[in-house]
Amino acid sequence: MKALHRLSDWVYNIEKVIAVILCAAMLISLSAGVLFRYVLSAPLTWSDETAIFSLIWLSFIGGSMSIKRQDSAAITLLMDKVHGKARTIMLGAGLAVLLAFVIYIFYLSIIWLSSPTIMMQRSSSMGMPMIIAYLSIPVSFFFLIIHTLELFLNNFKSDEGRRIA
Amino acid sequence: MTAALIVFIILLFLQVPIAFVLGITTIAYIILTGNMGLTATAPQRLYSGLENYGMLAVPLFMMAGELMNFGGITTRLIDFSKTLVGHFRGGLAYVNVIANMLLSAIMGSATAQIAMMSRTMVPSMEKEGYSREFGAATTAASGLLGPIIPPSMIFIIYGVASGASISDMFIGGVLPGVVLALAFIVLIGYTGSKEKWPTQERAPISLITKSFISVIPALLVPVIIIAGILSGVFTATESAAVACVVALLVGFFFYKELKIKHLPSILVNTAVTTATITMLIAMANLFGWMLSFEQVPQNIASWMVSLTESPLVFLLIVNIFLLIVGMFMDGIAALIILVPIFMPLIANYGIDPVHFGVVICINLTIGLLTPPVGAGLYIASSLADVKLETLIKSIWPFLIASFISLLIITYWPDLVLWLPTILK
Amino acid sequence: ACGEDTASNETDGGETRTFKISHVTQESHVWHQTALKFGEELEALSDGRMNVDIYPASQLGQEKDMVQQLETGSLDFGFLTNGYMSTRQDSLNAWFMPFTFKNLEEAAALRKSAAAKQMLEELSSQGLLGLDFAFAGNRHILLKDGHVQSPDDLKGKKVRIIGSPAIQEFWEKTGAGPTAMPLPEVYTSLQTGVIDGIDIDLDALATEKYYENAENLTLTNHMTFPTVIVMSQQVYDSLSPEDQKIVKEAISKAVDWGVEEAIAREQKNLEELKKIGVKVEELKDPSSFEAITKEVTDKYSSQSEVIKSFLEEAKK
Ligand code: NA
Ligand code: NA
Repeated sequence: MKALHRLSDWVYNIEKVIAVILCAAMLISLSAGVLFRYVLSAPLTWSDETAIFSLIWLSFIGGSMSIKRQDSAAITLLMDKVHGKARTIMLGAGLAVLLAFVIYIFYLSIIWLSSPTIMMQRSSSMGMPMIIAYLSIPVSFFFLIIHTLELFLNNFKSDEGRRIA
Repeated sequence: MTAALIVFIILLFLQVPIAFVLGITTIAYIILTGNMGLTATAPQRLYSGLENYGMLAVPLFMMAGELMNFGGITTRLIDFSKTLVGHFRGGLAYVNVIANMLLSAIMGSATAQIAMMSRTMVPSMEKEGYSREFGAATTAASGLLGPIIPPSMIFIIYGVASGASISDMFIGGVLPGVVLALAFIVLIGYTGSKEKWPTQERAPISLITKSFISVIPALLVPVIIIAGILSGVFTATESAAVACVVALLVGFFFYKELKIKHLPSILVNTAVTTATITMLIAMANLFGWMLSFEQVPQNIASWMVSLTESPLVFLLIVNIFLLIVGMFMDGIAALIILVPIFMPLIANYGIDPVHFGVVICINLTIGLLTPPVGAGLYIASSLADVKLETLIKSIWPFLIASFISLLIITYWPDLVLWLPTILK
Repeated sequence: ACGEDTASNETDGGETRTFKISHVTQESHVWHQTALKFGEELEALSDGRMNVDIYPASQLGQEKDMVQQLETGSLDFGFLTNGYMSTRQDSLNAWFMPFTFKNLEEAAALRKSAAAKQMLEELSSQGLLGLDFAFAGNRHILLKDGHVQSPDDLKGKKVRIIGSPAIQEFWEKTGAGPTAMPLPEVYTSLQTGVIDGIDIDLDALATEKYYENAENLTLTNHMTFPTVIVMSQQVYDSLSPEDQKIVKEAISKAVDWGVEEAIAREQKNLEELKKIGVKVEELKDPSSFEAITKEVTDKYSSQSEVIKSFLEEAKK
């Protein structure tokens, strides 16, 4: 349990570094796009694609972070009224379904990226292998598994059960 | 489909994040219908839901908001508004609306704006003798202007989902934003004279001038955005990046409040707030595919058309429907699910997609403040430390003012469409 | 109790089978009309045993998603743009070799060439059965200022293009600044001057009304823009030999009709655009583009035998 907790924190720190880099990449590539097109009249062909691929990575990594931070939008209407053991069990059930889901998507994404046609796909402007962008899904869902598992186990440890939202 | 609906509702109430509820429901639906081959395409669907250029504005407008907060732009906008309207009866309430209008010209999200202003405006209003809940209600309501006056996150998402021009949406939102602000101002004026609120001294000209000079760099941000879009320097999407750069420069070099050490936490916050929206979009893309597979949009469309032939009646029905949806659901999630259903319909009724977009976006934004599920309410109540029940009691006059404005904007499409036309 | 009417029904025993077709265009587009025609032919040839549901405007997902659904057999037919498919299969760039066809008839005639058949066959490595090519009109150039009679007229102009390697390469060599901008931004960007022009077909020009912001159209015919019509190999294999034959016959009839329709629309659109007041000029002599064209075609035909033989057939 403690090891899992530490692993989850450690993953979160990596995610933070990735997020900072991706945000900066997005801002710089789009601004450079404007600069080169308007000021230098030499449009860049890679700026939009770089920004979009950064956004996609950022979204999935950030999605994992928001589960860790218990920051994502959820409806707390009912759970705010339930207390004690019932609350622990109900929250635990929700987390169990969530855990099953992230494991399943992780598994599906591994199968998807092992298909032989993946390597044929290249991005339209830069000709970058699409797998670089696609990898955002297995990587972030792997992180999600770690965070969700920690939340799930933690839910039963603490008396009141923690909120997901 | 019924089983999927039950799964959906149970998970929502078990406090599973909405984004994931959409994904889980879709997978459950696929498993229940025995079409297992379909699950193989789920990860790819998640991916392609985000591979969209317009979506880039989401994180960048988030980032611009954070940069302004750290860079001291927000406080200067408030100070400036105070010197302008602080001396009227109910002065600080007006200040709240005006400062929110100015802020709205830079920020694109209501919840971000409500969070920002609840911390600063509510305590200062309380100090001047207003009740805490009235301060929180004014702040939450004025925060609605955030996504209606451009730039706007929800307009961008509508533009992406519907294909309507994002620039037209932006310009079309200006007058409706003014209508809404006027409605709040009238409401404050009426309440103020009824309850004999305090007045303050008028600020001397020297102070107004000083405050104005100090606010100029902050006002540069919206001016550069609007001028840049209109003169063809950049697109609406790129304007978000430009806004960040300008906010960075102003914060670093003019106000000197923004420091390098702030940047990591600004960027991490941007990532998480972005993901709460974009994950929703990715999952909704999966969910929407289930709906199209079941031909739900087509069925609803043909049913709707059989109900009425009048575009106005149709819009009224849509408004009532969305107000109910908005009571229970996050606006952006609802928008993503519903736009594909509405688009074939509005073509049928001959409704302009920009007018329609502005109407439904305002409607769903109001939903942020309607109980029982309203992100704006929760943020204001927790940051201003007001009980939810008391906040709801003082916010309903603002909600009524918002509904009346919404009806006006629904009835007169020109309020939305006139500005984009004359600027062409 | 829903969804059992989808892909699983048997074709024999008198039961009907409904195929799902998906494409990226609106319902007014000639590709959608071709898909409708295919449905009619299929129903007639199979005595009502087989019919289609069409999902236009990317309702079942973007092209990436469509291809994956075709691979797994959850989608039966797809009309995929050659722009996207060329990022998955190099030989398809043949259609983007500049100034290969003088008009749409010439381009459409090559759909029956040996090289085109070869391109379709190569798709089998992706689990796709390539059936045919259909067309949407040739590409021309719309500018805010001036017409195009030589590459000099494009120098320094920011032109919106479709982001695809071969198209991009041609445009970079012209000296213009090609910008790969998403469609919803194009109208306003032309209006405000973010871009100076677009590379476009007449159908899109007429329906999207870009001429309201840029009125100089040069008929260059510099490229064509086909759709690759594919079927899920898995689904095809599940059909009886007779039904396989019916499918192929129906598609071929539908595309024959669709190509005629596209050519007719090219004429009709042009007349309509002239009537609206669009200033139309023809590119009188493409020879000034010859050096650029040769660079692109040499490069691509050295990379792909199929493209080489396609270009040879085109010259005949
Ligand atoms: Na705004
Ligand atoms: Na609500």
